[in-house]
Amino acid sequence: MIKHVEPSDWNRSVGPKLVQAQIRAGRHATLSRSSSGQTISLGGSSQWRHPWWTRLVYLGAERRWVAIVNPGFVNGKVPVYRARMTEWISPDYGINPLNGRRYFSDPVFGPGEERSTGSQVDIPLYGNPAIALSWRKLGFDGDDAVPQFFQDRGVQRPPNLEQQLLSGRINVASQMQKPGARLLRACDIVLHQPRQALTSTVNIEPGIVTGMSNVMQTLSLRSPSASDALKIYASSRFEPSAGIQSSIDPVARDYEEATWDEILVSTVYLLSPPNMAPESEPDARWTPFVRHNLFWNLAYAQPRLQALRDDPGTPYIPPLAGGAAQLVINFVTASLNDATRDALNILRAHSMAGRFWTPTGGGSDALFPPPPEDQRETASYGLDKKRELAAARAAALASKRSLKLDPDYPHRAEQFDLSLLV
Amino acid sequence: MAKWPRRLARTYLSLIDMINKPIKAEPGAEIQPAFQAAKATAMALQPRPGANALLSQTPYGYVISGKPQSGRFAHPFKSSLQGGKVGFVRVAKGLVDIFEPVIRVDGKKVPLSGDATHLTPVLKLTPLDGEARSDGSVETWVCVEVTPDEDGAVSKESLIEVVHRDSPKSNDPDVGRHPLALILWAKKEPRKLFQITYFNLRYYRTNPPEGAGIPHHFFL
Repeated sequence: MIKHVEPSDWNRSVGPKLVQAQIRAGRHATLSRSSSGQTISLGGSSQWRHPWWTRLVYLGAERRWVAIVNPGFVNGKVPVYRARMTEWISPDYGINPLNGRRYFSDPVFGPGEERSTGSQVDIPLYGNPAIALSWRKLGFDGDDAVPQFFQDRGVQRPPNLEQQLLSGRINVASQMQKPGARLLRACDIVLHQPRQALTSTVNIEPGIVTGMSNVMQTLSLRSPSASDALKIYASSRFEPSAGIQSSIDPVARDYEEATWDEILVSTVYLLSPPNMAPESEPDARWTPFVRHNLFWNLAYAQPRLQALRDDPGTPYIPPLAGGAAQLVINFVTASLNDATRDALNILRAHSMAGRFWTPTGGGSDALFPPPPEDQRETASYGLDKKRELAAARAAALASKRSLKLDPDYPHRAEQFDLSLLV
Repeated sequence: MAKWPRRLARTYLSLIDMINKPIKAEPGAEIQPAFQAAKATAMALQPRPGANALLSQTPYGYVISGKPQSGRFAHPFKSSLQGGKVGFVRVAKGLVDIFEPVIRVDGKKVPLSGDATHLTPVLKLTPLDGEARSDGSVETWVCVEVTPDEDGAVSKESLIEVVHRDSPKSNDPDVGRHPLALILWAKKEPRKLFQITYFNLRYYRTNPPEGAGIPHHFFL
């Protein structure tokens, strides 16, 4: 056995050969080294990406994360990202393939007096705008709603002090951050679709002699603001519209729907390295993850404003200026509670909330077949309970580890709402 | 060239020595610590296949092969922009209900999949006003238009045609229009195409209730 080697001998003979034996990553290849070997991966960067595919990019100069969303379409139109001048002037968006110049290099986008502060510019999604993000905290220093995917990766749920106080048992250990725990931040990317909205005005004329009140409810349409547009934006917390709530009182005051519909495009997450101090701000060391909600382009439609066929009342539709419709409904009622209930039901029946769907060729059914792994059978060890238990534990652990944020291809499609056909 | 640490050199040469003289461990014999270090070195140098890579081991070394991911996705109505400044669009076969749309080639209606005289029909593009963006680019659309029969359904007699339009929405109440792709123009030249439709389509028309209104055309 060789007991001693001079460095000069090594550099002359074996060393260069060892360097030559090293594997290096070439074009479309990535190489990762570990103690168990060198892993070569090929062609991972040119995979087909679906519409609305979202990725996170860290802008080192500005020390912040931004999101870039693949172009998606609604009724063939591309949404815009509405950016403030101060937000989009500084980042470098690269070369515009259409004219060979840098994006927004035209003088019209220059920092003129009226554009220097606060003014906005609409960038279509195919221009790959960098979407500014605002984060909400999840986990130990934030909300309790931590997805299982991140709990498996070391995100600690927040201590439930209130419940412990109520039960009279305070667990001090649960109030501390565990060693190796990670923090989590999240932000929602939202699609905003302007639409016509329903408005309602109610007049009640008490009938002195009969004891019955005559109620006149006028429904009309309100157009969205002229400056509103099909757009995409980031929100620290997106809450979908719950529709017309039973808590509103259309008799007490005029009711107006929102002049837009919104749907979640994706939720982006940042996972911290282990042992980060609570309340830390995300930086380049955090790992990005994305959970998509939309995978395919969308169609969008609103229901017609149409008359009620049954009682109450006899509606008629006089035209309004601008082509909008106005619906007047008369009904009689014995009490104010009845009037509120009837007016609310009429509001619900005439809501102008629109629907998104994905044209999949499947008609009203846009459901794809289940992924193959759902049909996989588990191995059985018969009477060997010990092995069966161990296999079940291993399977449960594997399913936890392999839990993914997005469903496999063909992903998921938005279902068509049959009520639009009425 | 940087000098290698003596310990690593010794380990590596030990490894070579061991390969030249294969060790046969006897039952109960102590495994030399150097062998453990050499094993770690050998493990660290061992190539392993990752995504899209196939690794073959031969007596002369390792062979790495890969099937490159083209990123292509074959689907109905897949559209491609060709022809440079002149500009024409080729649209792959897709169906509306069970019928194949046509393209007008020199005034003749040709199915998307072609016929005996036009094997690969294309849609010629002419500059349209379209929708202008603030940077001067213009958007137009390649669409499929459906003119249903009297019952509002698609039949063999219905006209289903792939056309180039300046808006994804039809102004004709009797014609349903669905966008297949968006074309971005600059200086009256088609520069880029964005695919919109990835699936076959189903058509459905709803008529207005008695009184006023226009039919609604749905593509599901």
